[in-house]
Amino acid sequence: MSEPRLPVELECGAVVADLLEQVAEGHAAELTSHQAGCPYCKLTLSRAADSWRAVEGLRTEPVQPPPQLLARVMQRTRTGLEDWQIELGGERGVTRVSRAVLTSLAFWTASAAPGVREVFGARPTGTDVQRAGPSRSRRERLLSPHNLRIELELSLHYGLNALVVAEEVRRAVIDQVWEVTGLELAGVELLIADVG
Amino acid sequence: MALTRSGNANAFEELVRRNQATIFRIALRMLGDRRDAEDASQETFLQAWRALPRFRSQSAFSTWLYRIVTNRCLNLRRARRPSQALLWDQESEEPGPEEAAEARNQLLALREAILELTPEQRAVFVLRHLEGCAYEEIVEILGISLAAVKSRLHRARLELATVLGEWK
Repeated sequence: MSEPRLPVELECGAVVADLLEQVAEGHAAELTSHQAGCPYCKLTLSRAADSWRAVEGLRTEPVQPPPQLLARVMQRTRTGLEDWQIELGGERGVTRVSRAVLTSLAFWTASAAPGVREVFGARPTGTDVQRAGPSRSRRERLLSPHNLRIELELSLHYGLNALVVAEEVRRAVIDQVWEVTGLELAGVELLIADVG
Repeated sequence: MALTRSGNANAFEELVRRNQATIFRIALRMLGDRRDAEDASQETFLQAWRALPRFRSQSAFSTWLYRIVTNRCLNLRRARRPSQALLWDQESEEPGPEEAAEARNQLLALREAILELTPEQRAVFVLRHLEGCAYEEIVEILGISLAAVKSRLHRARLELATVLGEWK
């Protein structure tokens, strides 16, 4: 089925696409002096406004997200979060910290360090503990407390010495993780992604 | 935002809760199918969660999400032709008088016409005229020039007007 042909220009020389834009951008009633006295422009603006009503209808149509969307996203998010823990030891029972704890500790400590403008992310990494017996599931991964490192991506305030600030951040994170968990980090890797 | 960056899943849940309606709506209008839109929305939020360290606060978080969902839908759409516009189903199909029936027919024609646009034209049309994004925001979301945004919008409006209007 062929559609009715849309003229490029009106008899008065006005460009139809310009009139469409005028309507689409919500300026249909703001007529130029030419349009105010031109029957071709007035008729085309009126027709364009009629056809554009459907767009307005679609724009204001309520759209509800599926009720299970939030739950599905969060289930997958949280599954990814709990992918490993570290044993801190203990004489009367085992204490473990999750990856989320280390991430949070490193993030907030680095955020408060002098010279740091914003921390974009923190990611602890380490090596798995090798255990005898059946292999553990992904959710039950256990990391060795040795060779534990933290990667940080951040931005610094402009004009500061990056190496000096980086060393401050490194020291603060290592100290804070030691103080809270007793874990000794093997290193803190920094990516200075921005200054401002 | 900082709480989410620190790995706090509850903070991220709040961000998803606030943005899920908009992200799903964009995906639905880009893809024309509720199931595809749900998948695209879900993947958008998961990608955002994983890529949070790459988010820069110079742009709004919502703009960043728009970019992810639009690119995801564009890639999906480029990979396959639209199946049929009728898939763009809505629960709110209320019966009404004759004028309402005409309006519904126009709406249906518009949905079909939007799905006939090229994915690139559809993206700018959806962002500008259905989501009300500013031109500068669309430039940022799509990573194209202002001239390209305007050109695609110009083409999209002409295509839709041809289908919707009485021009004889």
